Amino acid sequence: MEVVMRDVVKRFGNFTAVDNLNLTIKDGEFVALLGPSGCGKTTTLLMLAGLYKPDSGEILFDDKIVNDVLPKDRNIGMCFQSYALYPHMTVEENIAFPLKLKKLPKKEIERKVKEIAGKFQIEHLLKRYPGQISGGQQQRVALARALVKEPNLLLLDEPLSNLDASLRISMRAEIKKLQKELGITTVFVTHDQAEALSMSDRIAIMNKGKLQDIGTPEDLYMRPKNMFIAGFIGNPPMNFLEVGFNVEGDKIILRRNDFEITLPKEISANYMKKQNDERVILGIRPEHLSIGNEAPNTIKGEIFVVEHLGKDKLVDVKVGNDRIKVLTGQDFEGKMGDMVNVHLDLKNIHLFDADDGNSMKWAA
Amino acid sequence: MRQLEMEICENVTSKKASMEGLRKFLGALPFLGPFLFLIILFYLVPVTLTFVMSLTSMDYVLEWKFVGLENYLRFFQDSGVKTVVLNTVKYVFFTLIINVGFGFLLAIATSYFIRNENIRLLFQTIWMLPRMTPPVVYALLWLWFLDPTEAGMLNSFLGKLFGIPAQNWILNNPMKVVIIANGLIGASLGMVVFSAAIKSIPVDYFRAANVDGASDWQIIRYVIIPFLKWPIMFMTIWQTLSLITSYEYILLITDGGPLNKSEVWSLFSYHKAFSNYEFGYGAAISMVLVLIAVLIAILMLKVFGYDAIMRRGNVDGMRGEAGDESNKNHVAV
Repeated sequence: MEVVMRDVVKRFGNFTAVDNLNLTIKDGEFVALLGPSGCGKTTTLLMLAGLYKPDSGEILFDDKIVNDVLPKDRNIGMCFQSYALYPHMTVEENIAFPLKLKKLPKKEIERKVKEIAGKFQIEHLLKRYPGQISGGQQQRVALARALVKEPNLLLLDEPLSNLDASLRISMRAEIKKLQKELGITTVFVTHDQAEALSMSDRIAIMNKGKLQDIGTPEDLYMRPKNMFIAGFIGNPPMNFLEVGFNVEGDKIILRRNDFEITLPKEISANYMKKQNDERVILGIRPEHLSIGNEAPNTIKGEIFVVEHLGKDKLVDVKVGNDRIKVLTGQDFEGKMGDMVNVHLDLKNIHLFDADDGNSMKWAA
Repeated sequence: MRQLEMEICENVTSKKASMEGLRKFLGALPFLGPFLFLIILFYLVPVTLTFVMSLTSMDYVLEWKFVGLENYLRFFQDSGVKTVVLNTVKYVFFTLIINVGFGFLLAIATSYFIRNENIRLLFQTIWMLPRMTPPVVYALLWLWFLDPTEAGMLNSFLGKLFGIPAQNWILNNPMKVVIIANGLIGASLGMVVFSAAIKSIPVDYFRAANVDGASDWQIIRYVIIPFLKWPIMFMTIWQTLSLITSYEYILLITDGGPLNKSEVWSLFSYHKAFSNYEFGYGAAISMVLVLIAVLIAILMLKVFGYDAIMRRGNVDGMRGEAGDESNKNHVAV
């Protein structure tokens, strides 16, 4: 089922939780709503579920406006962060609950429950109560309950955040595989970028009620439209340095009192031009920095601290009053207080307007 | 020889244990003390005095003349007792239904259907008014409301609106009046307790049920009632015990009349003691009632489990209990 949100606004009193949201989710697509807490992603999900009514704008399921359709008539499956399994019902009764409400014949309910329990490998738990099974098992039961009525749309509200780290990673893969097998349109709310990046076809990234961008994980990572996306996606986060913008010939020169970076012609051509000496933000990810010999077009700094990440080392380098993070190999030998030269992979830098935070890259 | 040693050993340990118990009790005394003092002064002492009094034929001359179990024998042969017992059972049963049932309906209405916080507060406050009113004033309001003359509120209302002639409501339906008047007071307590319990049900359960296609009635039936199982049980026990011994509103509205038609057990005792000045007999009637109340309390706590009520009085307890079991039977994936 295709889901379209058109100019959707939701307010709570004076607070605008969702501001003019436009979003199209294609049939069978797995879309993550990603953003920090309070960004409006759960409100958006609850509007899709019909639990909240938008103040203005339209929500369409397959070209049909559903603003006034009650949750029970939308045929959606929903899975909550708390799982919301009824503690007084057995696993079997929990899964059968949506079918019982639909007044399906008993035999059919039994058959469907058996079938979905088989798919989630929880047949042996059917007679138990939710309090008697583990968190991972509860998660499966909640998913089974959401899917047993064969919904057109599956809504997942932070379904993995109550699981421990290793279980979370294995559930990620499982949910993704299941979604592809069933081909069911899925919207998934999370504040964890790793989950969003690893599971979804496209990510809608939100901040303060506004949609920042929607795109494939790769798009958002490689070509962030603004500083919020650039800083939110990627771990460790992108480094930002305020620099002065200058153009000499067809080259851009980024200058501040402690370093100067000249962008070659073919890279300079990617960016909008500003007036000389205007302040802009240079953004570069830790994985696109390296530490090397003294050379022109590098940034000189002092090692502030070295963190071991297992596979890599993360080096904090003090540049003037700023600190930048550099990802280096395990063999890096530098110590606190050493002076180093940080080399930039110029193909992978980002320039942002200092006023509105938007990327200065020409749209492709 | 060996057995003797063991016995000595056990003796020592049990002695040690009792010493330990005593020390613990002394440690707790400063905390329990004030309450213990009040219980002794206002419960244990009166009960003992009542018991002793019940063995006397004390009357308006206030003489402690012991007559053994004569009062009790008289009680079981008294022809009026049958009516009184029946009235008490009727009174407790039907008032309980209003207290718990109507309280539950009010809680659902004010915490589930009314989403606006201010409107909910307004309605709950209105229902709390009878409880905040002094009993005498509340009873007087009922007397005015049901006044048998044409000027009575209900009579003039029904007369002007439907042309129904004036009736003596209290004289014709004493039990019903007493039950409704008492029920409306008790319902507010039920409402407050159940409202709090409904409010503490995590919102996700309602959302899940909504999405799964449940109607309001189905949400009440499958979500709210199961979550409120323990608060409902608690209210039932609590109200049963307090209704068995309550009489003040009946005294004020009908005074047990007409012709003992609304006389309940505790009021019967009161009348014997303070109207007929048969203090000894009145005390005996009370003693039997105290015994029955204690028996009911023990029975209910046994049936429902005292610990369970204390632990499962709230929604979280219910989940906690399920969690305990999971520790025993936990099987990981």
